[in-house]
Amino acid sequence: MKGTSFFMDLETKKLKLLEQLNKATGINFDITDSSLSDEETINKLKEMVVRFNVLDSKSSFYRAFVTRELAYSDAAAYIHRFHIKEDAIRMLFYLESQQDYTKEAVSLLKSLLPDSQDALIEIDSSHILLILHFEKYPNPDEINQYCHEFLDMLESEAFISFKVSYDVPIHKFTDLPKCYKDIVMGMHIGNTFRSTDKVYSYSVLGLGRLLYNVPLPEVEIYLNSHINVDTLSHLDEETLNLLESFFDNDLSLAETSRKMFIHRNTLIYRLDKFADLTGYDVRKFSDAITVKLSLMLYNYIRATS
Amino acid sequence: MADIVLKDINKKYPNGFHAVKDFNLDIKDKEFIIFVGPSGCGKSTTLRMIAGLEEISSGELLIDGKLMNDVEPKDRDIAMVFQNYALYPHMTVYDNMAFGLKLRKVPKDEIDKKVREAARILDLEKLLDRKPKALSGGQRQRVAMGRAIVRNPKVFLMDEPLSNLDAKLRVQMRTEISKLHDSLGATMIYVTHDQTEAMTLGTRIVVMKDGIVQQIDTPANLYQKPCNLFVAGFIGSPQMNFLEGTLNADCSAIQVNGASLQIPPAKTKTLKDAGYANKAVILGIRPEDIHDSQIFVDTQTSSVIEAKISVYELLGAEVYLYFDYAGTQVTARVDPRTTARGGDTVKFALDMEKAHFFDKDTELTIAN
Repeated sequence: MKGTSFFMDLETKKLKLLEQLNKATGINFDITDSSLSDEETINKLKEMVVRFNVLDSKSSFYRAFVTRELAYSDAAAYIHRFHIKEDAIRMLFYLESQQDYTKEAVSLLKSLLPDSQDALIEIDSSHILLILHFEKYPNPDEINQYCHEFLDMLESEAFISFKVSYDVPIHKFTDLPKCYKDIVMGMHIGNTFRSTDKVYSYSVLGLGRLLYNVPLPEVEIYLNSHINVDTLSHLDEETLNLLESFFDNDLSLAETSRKMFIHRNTLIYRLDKFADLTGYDVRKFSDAITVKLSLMLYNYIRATS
Repeated sequence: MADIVLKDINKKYPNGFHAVKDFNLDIKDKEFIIFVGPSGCGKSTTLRMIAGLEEISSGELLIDGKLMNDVEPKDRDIAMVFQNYALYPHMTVYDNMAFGLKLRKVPKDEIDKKVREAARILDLEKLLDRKPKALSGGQRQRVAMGRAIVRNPKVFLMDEPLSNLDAKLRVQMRTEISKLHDSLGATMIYVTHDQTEAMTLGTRIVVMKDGIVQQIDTPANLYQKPCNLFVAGFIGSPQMNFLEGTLNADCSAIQVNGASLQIPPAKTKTLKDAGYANKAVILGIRPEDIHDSQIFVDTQTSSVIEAKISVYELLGAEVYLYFDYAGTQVTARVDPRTTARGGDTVKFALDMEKAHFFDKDTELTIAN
């Protein structure tokens, strides 16, 4: 099941499943019944994988369950076998490494999970899923801090750079697959709209989550009727940084100039220059929204192209 | 030990973001170099490129003369200390420090020797059997440093290691890091956004903004001879005051808000030679170079301004007086025995020997 993800195309998914069936049974299967749709074929194959495949570890069980290769109705035996508490508070963390991670990184992460209920699942050579248990609902600041700590730990001890996405804690075991799907999506959205961050919380990705679902032609229509891609592509980094900082500081001239260590008049001069170029004065709330949206959509286009 | 050379280093992300531009620096063995600048200036990215955690888009990184661009991070003989330090909660201080070496299959007796030596340097010998929850914030940070020290690296890379500590502990740890540098004799590169940390720790400081190196110099030179408006404003707390004014025909005085401030001859010559006669420039003056004492006001009559104090702040050893002048808020750092209070109209003498002049458009320094 290694390498299976929601973003895999259907043909690859079928091949992967056939490979798993082959591994579990020793028989070479082939798809000959063309009357089934791709989706139906995949579901049939999944059923067979579950029937034949022996999920011999807690990690392989979790992987099958969160990727929906194993239905909840078929999970009961494994939950019992691996002594998994169904009604626990859990959080899922999806880690993505820039290069292939090493055994050392896995050992480091495992040593941070002393609780036997916790699980580390190697999804593929650059993605790891952590399922952690909590006694009580953790607060968002603690979680954020926790994420930064284990990312820093991985960098300083294993010299591997990871990013992580997570969502709110869940209580129901049946919510695991949805939560997994969301945090995988959260990683994509974060990489698109906040590529310089390392920690993405799905629940606070906000506008990015909405814009990520807008079809590309619509994005282009919006940009062309406001600030076109050509203009945006010619903005220098100094201006882009300045605009980001101005938005982050709630359109405050004083706060932005303080944080950016530039003179207030210099900031005003640069904002005037931007207004001359685009026709949008970001000191006005409505113009600021248009520019903020345009910059996000522009990042989206760049990330998808 | 290690010399580090960064030649025309650039970092460009796939989305087109150019995070670091043409970074050039020669770091001598045992130097304590600080990368400082506001968030997003590229300082951490540069450090991460040295560590190998980020790929170098173009340029060359050499450690002890060897090209390191394609060398795996673990083979660069470096150690990193970050702001967030996760200690294994179920392990003792000893085991926390030894864990990385155990993973690398270092022999047990060698691990023991290294851990005990690091504990001695960091004054953690009596805490080796404790679990992290029984340690204070500062002690935990020292354990995190211990994990770096046991590797015995050529280079220490520190990315805002004190940012999570409270102000008091930060000052204490700053001294400890300084001592550590002296005792280890290793090359250290330290990233911070805190200019006080930069000024107190560094042998040389690299000031960055928008991915571009602004100035590389000693702390004293950065403070006294900033190369541009940004460095002048970034280094020093409270920051330098900036006033817009116009120079006269022979650059011997600058008109600011109706007041004519006389410029010392050496600076006059520099301004004149650079062709700034009758031009608008920015005058920079540090808060400690604005005086309210009667002696100064009486002796420096050619550089006196008058203003109404809006805020009086007593800090114990000094007083900050805030006032508006020429549409800008100005800060003066004066003697605590001052009689000036909020609401008073006070005469201030500007020490023009210490004044700085900047080009209004390029923001580059004309005269220091």
